[in-house]
Amino acid sequence: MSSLLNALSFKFGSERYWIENDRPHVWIFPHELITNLRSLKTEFSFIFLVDLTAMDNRQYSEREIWQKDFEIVIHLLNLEESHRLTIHIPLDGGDLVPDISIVYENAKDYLVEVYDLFGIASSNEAYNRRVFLSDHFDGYPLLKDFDTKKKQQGKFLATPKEKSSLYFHHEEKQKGWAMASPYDSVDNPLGRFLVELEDSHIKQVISDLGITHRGLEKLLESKSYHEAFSVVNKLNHVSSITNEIVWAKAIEELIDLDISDRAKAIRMVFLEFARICEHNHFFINICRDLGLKSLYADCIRIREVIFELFESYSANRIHLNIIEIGGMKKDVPIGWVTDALDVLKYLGDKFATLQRELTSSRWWMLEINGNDIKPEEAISLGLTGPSLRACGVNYDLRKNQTYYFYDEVDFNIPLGINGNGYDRYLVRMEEVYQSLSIITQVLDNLPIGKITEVPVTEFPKGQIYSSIEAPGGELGFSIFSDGSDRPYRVKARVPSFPLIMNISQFTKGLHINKFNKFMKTFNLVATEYDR
Amino acid sequence: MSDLSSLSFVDRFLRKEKSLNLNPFFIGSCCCSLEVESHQGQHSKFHDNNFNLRPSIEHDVLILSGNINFRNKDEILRIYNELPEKKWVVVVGDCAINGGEFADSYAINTEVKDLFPVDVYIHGAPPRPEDLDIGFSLLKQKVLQDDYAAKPLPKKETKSE
Repeated sequence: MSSLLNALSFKFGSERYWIENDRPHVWIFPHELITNLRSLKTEFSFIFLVDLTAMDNRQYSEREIWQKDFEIVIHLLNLEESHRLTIHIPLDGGDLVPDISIVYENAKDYLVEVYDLFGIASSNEAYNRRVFLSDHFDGYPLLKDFDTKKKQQGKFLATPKEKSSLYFHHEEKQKGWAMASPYDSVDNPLGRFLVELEDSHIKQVISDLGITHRGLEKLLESKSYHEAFSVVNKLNHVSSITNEIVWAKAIEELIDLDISDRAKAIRMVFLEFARICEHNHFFINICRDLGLKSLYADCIRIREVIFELFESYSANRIHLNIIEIGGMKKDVPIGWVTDALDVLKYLGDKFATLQRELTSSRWWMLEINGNDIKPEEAISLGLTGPSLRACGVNYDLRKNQTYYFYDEVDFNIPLGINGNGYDRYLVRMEEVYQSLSIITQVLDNLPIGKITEVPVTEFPKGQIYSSIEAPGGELGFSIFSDGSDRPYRVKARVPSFPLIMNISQFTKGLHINKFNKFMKTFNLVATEYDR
Repeated sequence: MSDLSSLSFVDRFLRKEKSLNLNPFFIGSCCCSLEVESHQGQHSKFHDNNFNLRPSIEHDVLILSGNINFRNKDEILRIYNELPEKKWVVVVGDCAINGGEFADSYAINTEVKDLFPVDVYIHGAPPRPEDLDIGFSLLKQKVLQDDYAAKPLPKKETKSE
């Protein structure tokens, strides 16, 4: 037990501090929350708020510690020592949540989300608004007594003079509003953005999200842990296999199951292929936007090659459905490793071409760089993944909170300097090479043995937060189990949510022509943050 | 292939030309849009049923994939109405057709057939490239026959006595 955890248990006492599934938990009353959070941030250096969510405890079978209907759950992270702390704040029916954004700035995004989905209001009036659902929506979907069969209405923001909105249009020359329809490219609708302009430069962006809101978290409550794979893998369709692996990993940690070495190694291979696939998606989007036809065709071909490799493993191209709780559904087919090594060689050649064409091109750099993001800003806004590392913050869960065999393979974490679009490009390009190297190392030393454990049928009561380094950043699932075969509540912590919520801050002062390209450099997937 | 022999040469030429120069508008948010994009790719093995993508405002085919929820329903309907009167609609994937895996969710309560008439349904979550190819070749046959689902029914002439 480290000294930090000792100090924590001394500070909060045994009544309010406990350890569950190897993770420290604390509960704090709402009226003393802000002072406690301040001291946690300064004295214990929990400077990063990973996730904030709420829970409706009214149908939870036993509420031993506090007899309250709701609770707010906060996940904090100590970046230096990679310690995590979960804070529970019990609340009664009409209680207000204290304004946590005084201490942690990015809490503002999550408080809006909590109001939107639970109707739990914050003491700061500005956060009591809808984000995914519209003002016409009736009720709060994640409450346990919500009627899911009700017919819902939802409209987009009222726009100043709604004309043909397929493309940008300028209302006035000097100052005015521009609007982008969600559907202006082949895929990746991100939401509707209302852009306030001053001399063609962006003053403010109002984003209207929820274009692909599918009620995924509520739907997961009605699926058993085994059934949920077919829903979870549609969370982010570009790197679909990553979602399956995080889901399985979270449940395995909940029931304290150690999977076999071979299953771990195969999962690592797929995680890294998914990373290449999603970074390649970034190249596809930007090349299409900039009209780089031949590079675009190359990138599509790269994706096609990876999909064909997936197909030869699992007979599916995008949603593989090969993970199960306790290991893998299928073992590696005969000859697959050779195919994979051939694909790696092909990918290496293709990405070398891309890098040769793009990295030293001044035109490319000017097109995609956009605004800078400072490292302290990135941490306080809760960015993770390539967007955080492009600012120069060395934080990667594969190194800092290692899982599977990432501590045994040899790879580097590329870092940027300025945190602009060009740095994000460089980080992604280098990560692709590191992924190729990781896959080669794992495939060369693939352990032998069984791939799956005994089928899991019983799930203990408890809670877990488990996360991995997904291509876009930290992807994690909070699962609250009440002992049945279905989760009581699921929260997906997605890497793109902090990015899309702060898009107004990142694009301030940017020329309107660059807006679309700048958004593409974050590599956002709408189905992921809309959920 | 459909029987076009009863048509005049000019009509046959125009329909063939139309079927080769369809200009689709894509709406998609999910995995199906990746498959559509791959199908249209230059290295795709399905050359015959590719579209010639041109920058143009005048689209005549709507290719719809991804879930239709209470938020984007109006936007999709608006785009459909902005397309010209003579248009074809292809719906790709189970999510768009009936909600698919998300049919039980509170957010998904619209089936595409309630919104507008559809020419070609392509099932699958996501459909395989071969299925997409069959779907798009069906679309071409419908274009050759000048048959589209949004076509208003012929008015019955009332007999004058």
